[in-house]
Amino acid sequence: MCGRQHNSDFALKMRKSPTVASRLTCDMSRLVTSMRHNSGLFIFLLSASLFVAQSGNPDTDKVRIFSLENAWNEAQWQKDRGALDMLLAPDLVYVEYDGSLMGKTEYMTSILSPSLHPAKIVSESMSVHVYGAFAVVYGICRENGVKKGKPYSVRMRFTDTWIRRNETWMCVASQSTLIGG
Amino acid sequence: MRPVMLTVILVCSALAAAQHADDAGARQSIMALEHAWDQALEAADVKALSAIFDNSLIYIDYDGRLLTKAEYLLRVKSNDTHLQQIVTEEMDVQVFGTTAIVVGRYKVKGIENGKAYLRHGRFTDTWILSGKNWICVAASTTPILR
Repeated sequence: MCGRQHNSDFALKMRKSPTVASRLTCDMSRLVTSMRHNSGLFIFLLSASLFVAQSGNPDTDKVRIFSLENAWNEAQWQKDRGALDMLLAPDLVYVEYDGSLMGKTEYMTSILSPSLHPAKIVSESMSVHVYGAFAVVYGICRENGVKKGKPYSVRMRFTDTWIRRNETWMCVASQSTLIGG
Repeated sequence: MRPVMLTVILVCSALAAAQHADDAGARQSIMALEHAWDQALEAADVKALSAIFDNSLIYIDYDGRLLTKAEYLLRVKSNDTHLQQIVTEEMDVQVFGTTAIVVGRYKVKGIENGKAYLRHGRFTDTWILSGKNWICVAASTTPILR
């Protein structure tokens, strides 16, 4: 569920929804600045913005968090250190599907490892619960690729907790569990 | 955990929350609730557990199943896993204002399908301050494979 949608009326709709546009900009502009030379992710972010414009949903936080979840997948796939750094809080706690516990630095090192080559990372069945300045996201992630020379394929349930700091959402906790053990 | 005992803990945690607006007070309250959760599980005390959880609770079980509050409580009530003992350890509580995240390890013993089991896992629980009480809104468990 990468939210890649296109709409030629995007600019018009954003003008009609200045609140949505300005709030979205806080999160997205930081990422875009880092990734403007990365055309794939830039297109993705633009698409995510289009999704906001199309939704017409008053609960824009949910839409923003969906977009950021997908941006995370894209950044992981592209091994984009700058994007990951912006999406993840400095005090992130990350529990991997094998039960290992990592901080932000360890997690980013594992994701950016040259021996890891994810071919596909897809999130689906996502649900967001917003509680004021924080939100919890549940979903299923399917990932495959090559790790240390061996092919891998996993399907896991994830729970991510996001916190809004200075109008920017950042992930502070993430845990994955293999489905079916 | 008997309901009376849990009530005492809840009252204490509420008082602690009121008296200690700082992070240390919040940590203390949440740690007490985590232990109350363990004891309520061992006693299959559904009423006590219900008081700890927000109605929007989502629980991810060790096999990746997603359970709502009602489904989780029903499972505890049915006691199909015959849980005998649960121990949580290495808990770390991070407080972000009215939100807190607890990461820790757990060890659970019981009998399932006639066979004894011992599981080790990692959990992440998310708590919010609702009025004067901390309540859990999300919990995830993952087996430790290495």
